[in-house]
Amino acid sequence: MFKKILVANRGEIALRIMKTLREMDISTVSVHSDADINAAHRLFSDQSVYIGKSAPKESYLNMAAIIKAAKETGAEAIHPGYGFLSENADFAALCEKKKIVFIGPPAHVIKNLGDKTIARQIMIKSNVPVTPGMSEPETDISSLMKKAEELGYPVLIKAAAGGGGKGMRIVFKETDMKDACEAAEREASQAFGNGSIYLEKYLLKPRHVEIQILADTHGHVIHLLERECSIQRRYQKIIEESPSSALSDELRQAMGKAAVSAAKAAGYVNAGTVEFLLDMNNQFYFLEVNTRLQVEHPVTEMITGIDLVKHQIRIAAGEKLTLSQKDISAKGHAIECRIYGEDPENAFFPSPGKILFMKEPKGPGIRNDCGIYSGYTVPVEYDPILSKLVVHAENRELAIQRMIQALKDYVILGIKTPIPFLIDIMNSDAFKKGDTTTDFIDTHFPAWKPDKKDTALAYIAFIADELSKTVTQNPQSVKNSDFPTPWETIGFYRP
Amino acid sequence: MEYNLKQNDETKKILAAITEGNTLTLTMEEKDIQAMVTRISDHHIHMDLDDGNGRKGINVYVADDNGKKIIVINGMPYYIEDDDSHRFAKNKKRSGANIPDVVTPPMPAIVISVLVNRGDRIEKGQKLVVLSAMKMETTLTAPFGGTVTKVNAKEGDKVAPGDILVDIEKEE
Repeated sequence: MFKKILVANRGEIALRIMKTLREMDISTVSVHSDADINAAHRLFSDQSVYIGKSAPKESYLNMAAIIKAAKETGAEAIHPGYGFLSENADFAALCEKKKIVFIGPPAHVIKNLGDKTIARQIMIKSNVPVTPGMSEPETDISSLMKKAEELGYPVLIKAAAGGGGKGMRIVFKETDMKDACEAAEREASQAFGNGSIYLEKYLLKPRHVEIQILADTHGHVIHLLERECSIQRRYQKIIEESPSSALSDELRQAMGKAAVSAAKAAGYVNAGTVEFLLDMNNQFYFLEVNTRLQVEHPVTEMITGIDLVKHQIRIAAGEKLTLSQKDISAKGHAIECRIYGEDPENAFFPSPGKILFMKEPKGPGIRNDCGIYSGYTVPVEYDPILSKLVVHAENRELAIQRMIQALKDYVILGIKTPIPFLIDIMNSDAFKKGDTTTDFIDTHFPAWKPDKKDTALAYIAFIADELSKTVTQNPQSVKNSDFPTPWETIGFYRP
Repeated sequence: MEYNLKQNDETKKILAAITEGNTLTLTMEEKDIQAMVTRISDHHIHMDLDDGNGRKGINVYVADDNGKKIIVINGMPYYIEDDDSHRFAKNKKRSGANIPDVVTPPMPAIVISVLVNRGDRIEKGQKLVVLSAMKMETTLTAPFGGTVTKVNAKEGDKVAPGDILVDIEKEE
């Protein structure tokens, strides 16, 4: 087993990985940029290496700097987390060349599956159903326009190298096509260093259901059931759960089997996710393979009781999978809410800035994978994810109740978060019914506004804060819990 | 004491008196409320409320932010201002963020590209600056037609609400 591992990521996922490494008695090396000098992951690690300026290209995407950091610290392996270099085949190849273990699939597998068009070709060959669309990337706008015409609008522009909704655009009419393609190309090249795009037919009202897989270097592949990730904004998931309310046992087995054959067809190794779209008739279509740990992996960990990161590391060390398919079963229900730094009242606009105070929810069945703390300034340069709040309970109904209470108990002061919006989703009939399709927010919460029903209490709190604060500010006040006399608050005198 | 507290554009008058020790008596909309206040920390207050129909304990979380208080109750943030302090405060220069007629980012961001140059004639709605914040792209457009008199931003700049990125002379 490894003695020291470098985590080439930041924020909550870097912390989550390092927590498992600590349990395994493996030393942790983190990396950080200028913007992350005070980031939680840097502070948590045993050792941290500065790898460059704040712009991702100069730090977290800077392969040479990360390899150098691993060499200098004597880290034997690199865990890439998600995003950044996690699905970068060149980086995996470079690690191999420099005799550092990349915790993920081999470079050629990442390359094949990372190119969504080649992945589609592999799936078609192994009889896994795919959505109608292109299987070759295209850069020429007029050819893309022609393809869109053939498929029929609406179409989905996707980055060939894509993931996490970056470089993705849905286009309803021809006149929007040119701008959308250009924006998608730019976003893709910024996020992945590769601006190639292609088109898929946009399915109406699909569900997004994915299967977690684990594959070792000895040819053993298992799946760890599904995650339902249909609730999205800007094509990025915000709520995930397992089990999916849409799957019968039969369908679950069929999708699990398809995912395992997809993994085998691709020569997959380590943890991965096979994503499917499920249409209204319960037909499923291959979407893509994510060749990394997913943001929403805790949902699977909660219902199966399996630490996916631990298995990733064992697999990377060449160990045989100790689990077989029959060992995998779901217990209860888990839900994850992503807590982003963004404003739900204002089209989910990013909301970076200083966290004046925060308090995490606690209690039975509550897990918060968190990358922030009181006093931390959320930087503008990176993804807005702050933490992932996950609950586990006996069944879906109880998990929803638990999530509502956990959200109400989660305090983040200073930046905007979608917490009140998530509470309203959890409380909605549509969510309770399990009516979760990818257009959920547009359908059920098109122009969400918070219901500020406790404004009267907030006014009282305002006055209570004003009046009791002067006590702590005034060292002469002896009775700490009492309000000051009018003489003590003369500066705050009111008629 | 009289407070005039404001949320969004709505102001409410509240009378408050400290009756004993840590108890407040408040009058709001002709209703009397007693609040026993326990300060737990700089940002955490526990209140025991009695409005005549029974007692209720509640935890509130508070922080001062840009002249307002952020108050979180049961997961919901409230942004409350003291209307009196507002009135007496020096006529503070309002940040550009609240004025619709200037080209300023809605949140802290990084400039991806500037699409116009000094001297350009532009039309209302024309794209001026592409920004990126937390990996999301937004484009600022011209609030009115006119001529670009100055460009105050370049690629890679870190900008914030209130920074005016492009000066435009309005076409009459």
